Amino acid sequence: MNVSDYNSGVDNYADRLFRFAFKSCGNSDQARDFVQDAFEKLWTKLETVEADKMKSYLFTTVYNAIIDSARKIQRKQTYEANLQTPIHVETTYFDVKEKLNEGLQKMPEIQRQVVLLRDYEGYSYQEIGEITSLSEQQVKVYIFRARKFLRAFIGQLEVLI
Amino acid sequence: MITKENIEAYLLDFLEGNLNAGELLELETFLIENPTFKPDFELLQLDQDSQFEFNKESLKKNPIFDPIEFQEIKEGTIEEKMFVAATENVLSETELIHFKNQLIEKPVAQIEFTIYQKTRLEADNSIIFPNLSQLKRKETNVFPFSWLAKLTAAASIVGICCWLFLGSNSMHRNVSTKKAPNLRNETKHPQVEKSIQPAENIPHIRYYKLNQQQLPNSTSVQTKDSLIEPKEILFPPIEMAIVNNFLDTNASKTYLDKNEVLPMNELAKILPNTNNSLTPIEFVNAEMKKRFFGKDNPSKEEMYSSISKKLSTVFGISFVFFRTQENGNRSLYFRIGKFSIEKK
Repeated sequence: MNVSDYNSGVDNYADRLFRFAFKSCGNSDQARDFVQDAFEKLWTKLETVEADKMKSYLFTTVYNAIIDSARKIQRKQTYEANLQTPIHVETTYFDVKEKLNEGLQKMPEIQRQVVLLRDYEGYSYQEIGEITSLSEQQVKVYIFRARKFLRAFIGQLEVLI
Repeated sequence: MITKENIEAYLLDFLEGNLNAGELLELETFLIENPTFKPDFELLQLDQDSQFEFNKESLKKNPIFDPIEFQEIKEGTIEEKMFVAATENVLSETELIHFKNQLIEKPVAQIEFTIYQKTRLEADNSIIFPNLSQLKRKETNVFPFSWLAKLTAAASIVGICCWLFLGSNSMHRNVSTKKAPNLRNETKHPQVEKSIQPAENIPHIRYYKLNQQQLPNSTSVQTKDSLIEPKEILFPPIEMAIVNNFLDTNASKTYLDKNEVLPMNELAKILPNTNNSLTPIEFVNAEMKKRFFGKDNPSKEEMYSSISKKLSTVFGISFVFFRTQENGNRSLYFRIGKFSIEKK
């Protein structure tokens, strides 16, 4: 891969990676860091990563960064949860998208990643498996659970209208 | 006998099929004679016919099946798998036909499927990466490491090698200046044994021992003692080869000049494929480049790229350097990991 391929990758994938990262972690600054780091890594491996593998490499890098970060946050939250009394916040939704986004954030991390890769990028189950280091079968199970989760989260349509 | 008062009872019997042939004939005659009752009879007949046109298909059930794509999922109901598979667009043609039939038959399933379809996420294209240009790299003048860092690294390496080379050379020069006649006589002495052996495994640098052993009856004891200390000296292979050449085959010369062409007899044994027309400095430079950059004459970009890679590998931090020149104005952009410096 040369510099021209690299810059094409920036044009083609930076926004998509950012969207994916932002929807995964819910924090634009963090999402930007994930994307920047992914491109930094790609730059250092310019001669070893082939141009046609660039997209997969970038998404894999961002995915791993998100997972690592999520694990750290989870550890922190677990610690803080032991110190604080949880506060229940009830939200009213007026839009399916809004409701879906809320559901997406509450979904287990791995399910969120696979369903985002599936819906945002149109990756096949096999490709998602390669990015996330899961088997194709595991990916299907996570997709199935994610859809069921979101369906249950949406509830009845009447409620939304 | 059928009358206007009991005609309704006869009509009901007709509907239920309780009239015999004589009664049917009587009913028909009555309706001809009293046409005002005929519309009621026709209406009843129509209802009766429609009963025979009952949609039997609606009573039939489609076979329940697992979608092939999700057959191995051992959780959830078959209906849920169907909804998810249809949402995922992974149903086969046959499965899709069955699924559509089910939706037609079951309005509730239609609603459920509509909700499932809404679980498909749509990318929000309004979310874009801020300042995309900062991710891009310049296609020209891209250097993975700064001039300063490169020069420092290169100067350090060359300096060490020159120190080693010139240090030993000057040692020989001093000695040979003082005792050149003896040296000329003794350097070819067959009783001097030289051996080259690998020394201790020092990480990253390979050294050899140069042993000078003197035989008891040697007449050159004093001269050799003054030339090389009677102890083990660690030399890098390049210098060691030069020293060997100097001692062994170059008897007519008292020392090696910087601009002299190296006698490569011994050197060639250790470093095959060496160009024997090089001066010592050229040789050291070429050898340095070959070892550090993999080429005799690497381009600047290749050198910077190699240094950058090595540093990135060792420290795990990316080193990036940009140099741009626009309208005669130079600007430097230097970044180590997440920290960057820009100078215009």
